[in-house]
Amino acid sequence: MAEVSTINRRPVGHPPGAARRWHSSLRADRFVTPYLLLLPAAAMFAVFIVYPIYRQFQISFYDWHIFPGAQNPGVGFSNFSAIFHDPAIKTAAINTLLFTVITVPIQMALGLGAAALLTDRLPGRGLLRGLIFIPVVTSWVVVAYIFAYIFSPQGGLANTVIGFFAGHTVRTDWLAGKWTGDAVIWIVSIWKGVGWSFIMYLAALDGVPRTLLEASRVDGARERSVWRFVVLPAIRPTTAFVTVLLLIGASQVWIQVFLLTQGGPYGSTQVLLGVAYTQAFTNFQFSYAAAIASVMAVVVLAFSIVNLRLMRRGAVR
Amino acid sequence: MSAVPAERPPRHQRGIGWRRDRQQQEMPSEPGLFGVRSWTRTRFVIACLFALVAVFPLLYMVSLSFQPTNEILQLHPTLIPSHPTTLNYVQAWTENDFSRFFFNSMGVALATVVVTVVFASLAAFAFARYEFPFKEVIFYVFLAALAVPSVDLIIPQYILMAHLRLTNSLPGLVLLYSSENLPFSIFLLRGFFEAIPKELEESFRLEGAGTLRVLTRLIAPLSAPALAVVAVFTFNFAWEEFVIALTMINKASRFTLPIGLNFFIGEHTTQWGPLFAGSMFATVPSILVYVISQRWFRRGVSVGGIR
Amino acid sequence: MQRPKLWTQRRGPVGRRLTTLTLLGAACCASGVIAAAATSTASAATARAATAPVTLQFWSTYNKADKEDSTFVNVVIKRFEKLHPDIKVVSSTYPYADLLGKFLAASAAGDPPDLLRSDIQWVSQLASQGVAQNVGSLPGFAAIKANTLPGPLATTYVATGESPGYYAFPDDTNTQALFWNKTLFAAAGISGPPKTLSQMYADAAKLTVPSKQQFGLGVDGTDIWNVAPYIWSAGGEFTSPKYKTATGYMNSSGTVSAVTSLVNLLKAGDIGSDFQGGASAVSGEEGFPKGEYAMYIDGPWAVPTYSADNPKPDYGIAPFPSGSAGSISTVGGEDIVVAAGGHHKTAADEFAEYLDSNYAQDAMASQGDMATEVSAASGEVKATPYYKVFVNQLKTAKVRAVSAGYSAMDSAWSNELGAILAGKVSVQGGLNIAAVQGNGALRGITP
Repeated sequence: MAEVSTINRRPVGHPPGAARRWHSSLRADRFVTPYLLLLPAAAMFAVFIVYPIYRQFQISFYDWHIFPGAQNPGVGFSNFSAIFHDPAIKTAAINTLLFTVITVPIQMALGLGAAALLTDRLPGRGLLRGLIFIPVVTSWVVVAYIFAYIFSPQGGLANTVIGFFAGHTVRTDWLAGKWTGDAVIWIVSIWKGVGWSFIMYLAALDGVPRTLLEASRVDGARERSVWRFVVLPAIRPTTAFVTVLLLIGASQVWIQVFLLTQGGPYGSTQVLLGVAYTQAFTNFQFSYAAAIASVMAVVVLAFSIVNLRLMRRGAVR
Repeated sequence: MSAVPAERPPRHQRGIGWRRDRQQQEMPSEPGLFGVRSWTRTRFVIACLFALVAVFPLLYMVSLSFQPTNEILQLHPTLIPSHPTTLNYVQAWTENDFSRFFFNSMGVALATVVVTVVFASLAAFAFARYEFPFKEVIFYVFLAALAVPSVDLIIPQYILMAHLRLTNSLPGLVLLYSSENLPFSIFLLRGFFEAIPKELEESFRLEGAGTLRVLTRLIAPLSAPALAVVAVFTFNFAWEEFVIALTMINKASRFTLPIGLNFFIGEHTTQWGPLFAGSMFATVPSILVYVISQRWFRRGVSVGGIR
Repeated sequence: MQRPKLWTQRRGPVGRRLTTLTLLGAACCASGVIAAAATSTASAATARAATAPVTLQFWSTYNKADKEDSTFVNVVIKRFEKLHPDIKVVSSTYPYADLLGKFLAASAAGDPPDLLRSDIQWVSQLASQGVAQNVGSLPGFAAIKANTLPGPLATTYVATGESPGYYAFPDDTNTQALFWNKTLFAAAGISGPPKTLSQMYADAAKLTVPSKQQFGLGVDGTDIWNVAPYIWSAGGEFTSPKYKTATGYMNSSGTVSAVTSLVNLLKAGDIGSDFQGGASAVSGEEGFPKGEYAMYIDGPWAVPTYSADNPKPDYGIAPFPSGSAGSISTVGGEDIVVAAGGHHKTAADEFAEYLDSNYAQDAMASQGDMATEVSAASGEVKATPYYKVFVNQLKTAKVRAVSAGYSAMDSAWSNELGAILAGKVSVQGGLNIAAVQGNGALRGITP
């Protein structure tokens, strides 16, 4: 156990008044120090992120033109009401929601599972960890191309394997259909994302107090209970953290859809961010795109805060 | 069991593998997650399966990087190249000043890691240990920024950088990238800092340590895994980031690696061979950073009974 | 065991706080120094530039891998600088992916490049945003206007918006012609390429051999760039002549019959996988050299690709078959936009006009960028013989709607055509829907 210090213990080598002076300086310290500590990060963040976000939000209330000095008539909430009448947005919202609901839990479960397997000693543990992490650092363009080949209709690995089990040649054109295209997007996203939650859970599982585990086992708890009542609660902060970040990331899915299906066929696999990008850089409707981004941000933020609060309340402190 | 992080042994006692020896000394029979039986064989098999699924598509990429482009365009590219060639690698490295892009990216990424780790640690410590007005508000502002998709963000950011005369500058990129990574890093580090018992810190302070000392000598080693994670992901983000880099940088000598890679993707055709080879150049440093961070930051974890 | 004294212990609490403050302050100063260093470099550079001769920034996607960019710099720019000693031109190339976004961001900050080699699609949108200079009234433009092929010239004219006019200089162009596989034609007993649309469809049926995965015709997608020749040549239309309306044109009887022909061809199995698309469909450029498609349309850039192939496919290039309205193909290419926010507009205009001179046009034509100027056409055909078919095709080629709403209209068309091909909606019904959406696109986006 940690050597618990007693506040009243006299520090070695200091004159008697030292402790008293420390406490009084601490009070003033306590007010100024946190702001000082926060200052570099907050200043940089405010300038480079918060201000542009504010500008992006502001743009959504105008019919914004790029050229400096151009007329930018204010249009109030009309960009926002346009969002609710846009059929493309409706499809995209459903696709984004579906993507989130399917990929986030699977990524977390697989990440936790892999981390649990690789926490304790194992031959080649370091190498295996590295291998599982690699997909996270690869580039999307390359990954999309490779998976397009794996799922190509003739001679692609996926069809070959399925055909082997089904007993006849399978020629599914995965990326040309809505649901099969969705399946590929989900598979690729999960494949590339598991390494991320894996790393997070590795760090968390490392921090589970081993003595606690030992104690509960000595007390006669079954393995399953050890997991349920010791390990999982101990990594709850990480789970909260991972959930929120995965949710946010999933809501902003775009690059894999763009590379794999281009939102096709006929816009049926398009996602919210894809609609926003098309509006901004193909149709030059910057204000509309900004409005979409703002609505997305508000919705996701609300979910995240609710999520965090729920998880924090139950956290073991 | 030691109560505080063990001192580094004096130089003459630090032979090769001294860290691992000490770990094994201090925790001879470390109880694992899986109890006495530890399920080693099963775990190994399943873990290998995971690793295989993770890495197989990339083996494909390695194989493709050794095939000439017109073969890659065939309908049935084979796993083992039929006409292996290193031409792609040569072409990728020598074309378009690729080596310079590599070093530009390396500089930017490393600087981003340093700035992010330092600033985020300071801020996370403030959130973890102090109570002050607007604390949760400021924290949620950091988080909220994560939730905002950056569709239109690039234009206000560019105008801002133009006003600050930071366009076309790599240090400018460092500032932007660090800012982008702050929310995630602060969020992560705050959680870890909060889990460190306050008694340790008080004992440190009583012996006369100031905040900075507490941070560097106590908190940092204890939250080493979290710092490692922050370092790895920050490096990865800065290393791979494309849109901001392309928009901000005009001078070809200052391009970063992702811009260089995208030159292989043309309007009508893509040069897949050099693209895959170039991607290999791009992937290897990320993996190296991960490996290095595992080694360096592992040492701080052996703090006896705190766990 | 007594802990060795930490160095900060030797000071009092005030001293420790001062140390903390100093170190934090140093961190902030460090970032300030970085910013200052960047600033001073930038301002020193601008100070230097102010006293030097005019330097123009030219942004493009010229390829550095082949000789496109080096020809531009060492041949075209070099001669210009000799003729105009007080103007220097710096050419920067960027990946195609984000050049437009980059230009927009720079324009928004008031610091655009002087010239942009812009995709013809972007011109109307750049004009509507106010970032492209209206060049129609420039004295040098009249001569260029008279000398330019009608198709490319139309790409520089923006009819919609507050002030219609010419907002770019034509730079280079291309079009699509018919590529036909000589081996497969011979095997099917057809002597030469089809000269009419109906002949083409009949040949496609003969050339389709399902067992060999061989299709008579390959169409690279349902978007306008790929299907327009089939529609226009058969008497169909997309918009009114001034690109203001789509209803009455996109769903006219001519368009309906043109689309019906394509649908019938697909139903008969004579058109390949790329028509209905999907990222794993085999594109024309992939499938043609392998013999998966016996015919397809493509531009001049395909020729160097095929000559690098091993084995080289045995193919010919022919004019697009004519339908009831003639043989009408699509116009592609790039235009030169002079940034409205640029700081050296006069010099930029001079350079843009120079790029339409015979010398510049022929130099770039040798690198695959076909000339827009009629007077340069004979020179480029002499240098690159296979351009001949494309040059002739350009004489009758039509331009796609020059409107800020073109992309949205193209999406609507493409999606509806896809639905028609999938059998989800009738030809007339689908085209009616597309026309209404096209209207919205053309009108809604115009200020």
